[in-house]
Amino acid sequence: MRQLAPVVTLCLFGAAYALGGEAKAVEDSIAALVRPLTLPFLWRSLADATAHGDPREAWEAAQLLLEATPGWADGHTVFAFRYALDGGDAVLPKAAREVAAFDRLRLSLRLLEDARAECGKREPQVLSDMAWLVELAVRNEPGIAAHLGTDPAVLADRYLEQAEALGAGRMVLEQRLYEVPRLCAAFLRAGDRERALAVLDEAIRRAGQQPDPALAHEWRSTLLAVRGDLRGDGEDAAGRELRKADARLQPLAPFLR
Amino acid sequence: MRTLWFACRQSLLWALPATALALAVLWIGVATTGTGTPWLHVAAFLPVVASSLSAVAFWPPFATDARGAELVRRTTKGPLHGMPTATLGALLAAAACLLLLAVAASPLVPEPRAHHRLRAHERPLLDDGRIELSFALPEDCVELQLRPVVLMPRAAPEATSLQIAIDGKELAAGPVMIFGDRQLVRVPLERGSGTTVALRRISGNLPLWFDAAAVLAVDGSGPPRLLGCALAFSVWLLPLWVTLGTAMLLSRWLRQPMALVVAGVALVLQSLGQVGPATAAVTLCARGHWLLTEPIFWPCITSLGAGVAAMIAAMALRAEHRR
Repeated sequence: MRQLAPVVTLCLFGAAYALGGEAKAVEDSIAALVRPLTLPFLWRSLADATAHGDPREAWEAAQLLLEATPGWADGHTVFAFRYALDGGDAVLPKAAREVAAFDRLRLSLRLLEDARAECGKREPQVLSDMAWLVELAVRNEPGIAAHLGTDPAVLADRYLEQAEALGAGRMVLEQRLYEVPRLCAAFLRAGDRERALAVLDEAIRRAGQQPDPALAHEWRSTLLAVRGDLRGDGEDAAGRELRKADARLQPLAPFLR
Repeated sequence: MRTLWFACRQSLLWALPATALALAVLWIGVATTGTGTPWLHVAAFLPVVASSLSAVAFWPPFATDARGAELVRRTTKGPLHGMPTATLGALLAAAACLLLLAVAASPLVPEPRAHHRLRAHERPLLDDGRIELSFALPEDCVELQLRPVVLMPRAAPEATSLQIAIDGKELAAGPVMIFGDRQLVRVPLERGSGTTVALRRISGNLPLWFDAAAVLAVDGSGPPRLLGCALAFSVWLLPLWVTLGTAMLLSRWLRQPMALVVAGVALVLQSLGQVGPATAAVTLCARGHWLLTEPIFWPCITSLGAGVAAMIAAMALRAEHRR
């Protein structure tokens, strides 16, 4: 009789499936029960897929593994980055490659978004990683910026803003502070001058609160000068040329006059 | 013959419910996750483990304390007292179940294609010293897969750009960028487009090493999907063979619970530990590789040999014991 146990179990599940109104819920429950069965094979499959399979296969194996380890922030970040950044098909035509890259970025961001709630104290870190992912994906494949619906810098800053609201550390605060020229340029490109100046004013205020006084002073005075240039009341032409050549201010260079 | 029939029937009694469970796992797993590979492994594992345990539990000489062991020893000829026949019965039962699974799983896997490993005519390294490598291209190829090992450059790393040419004619898609280690680049080819493929480094400084599996040419046509799937699943008979061989070898010292544990552990080691070729075969099948052109032949022979060696050792030990 013991041999019949799996059959009886299946029949019970089948009956539940047939009689229950929520077929999807029953299917999900069964899937949750049987998913651990794959775990022992997954580690091997994942390593093998990374070395010999294609990125899609590795991504699918990683997703199954991550579903079983929902609070593993580093794991989510590693697999999301790997898929979004390394998964491209180099010989596709440019337009198709951009769409594929955007698709991978979208799926990777969704994976991290879903993981956020389970990551507890690491949630700000996940948000910061999402900001980095956007930046790096756009750097790899600049054409995907057009598919994002908003400027990459704005999207990245949105994630950092959420991370900051959740109590992110100094690293995120400084990242936002020193990335402000990109964000400001994004608003200027979109024709939102008021918001660009508001962002700059906020950065100037924050620069004054930095723990390293020398660095804070230098960056604050640079941003003040940039604000002057943007408002058109900067009179220091030689200084403006220097700022245009400043690598940190390159995104803003076309707007400095 | 009667032993074979009984062993096969007993194994089927255990393996068929396990196969039903495996089919359910496969169906639910694929339906809910949209991915097949990990579920294929679980599905193949279940009937094999059931057949293995049933043979050890059913045929008394596999353990020292099994009920009826003494009677079987007295009534059967040969040093192994029918254990090889019981093993054969278990293998037949497992083969039937695996075939059933292969039929169910075949729509989930891509059509099998021969993946030819191409070897460079020269030392397979593209660096400052050598900027071009050439490979002989088999006929009927429709895709080239590149997956070079990226080595560290002397200066700051810059992605290497490769121009691919078939019989001297550059591909219209233009150069491909290699920026990551083992980065997969798929290059579609026209069927019968040429006999030689050349990779020329045109920019960047990452040295690229093309080892045995770094350049694959994929055939345009292949055998039916069911055949590829059945072949991959049948490789799972080898771990069963080795497991029952090991159980035969240790049967003189083990009581039944321990014999069952040993059989289970041997099977787990061969599947999860990838000691044998079974998991690799299913993985390759799920990737659309035709197994007969893969270097999986030698691990299969090794597993087969290990099972035979265990059986011979068991016979030798029993003969020694009788004297």
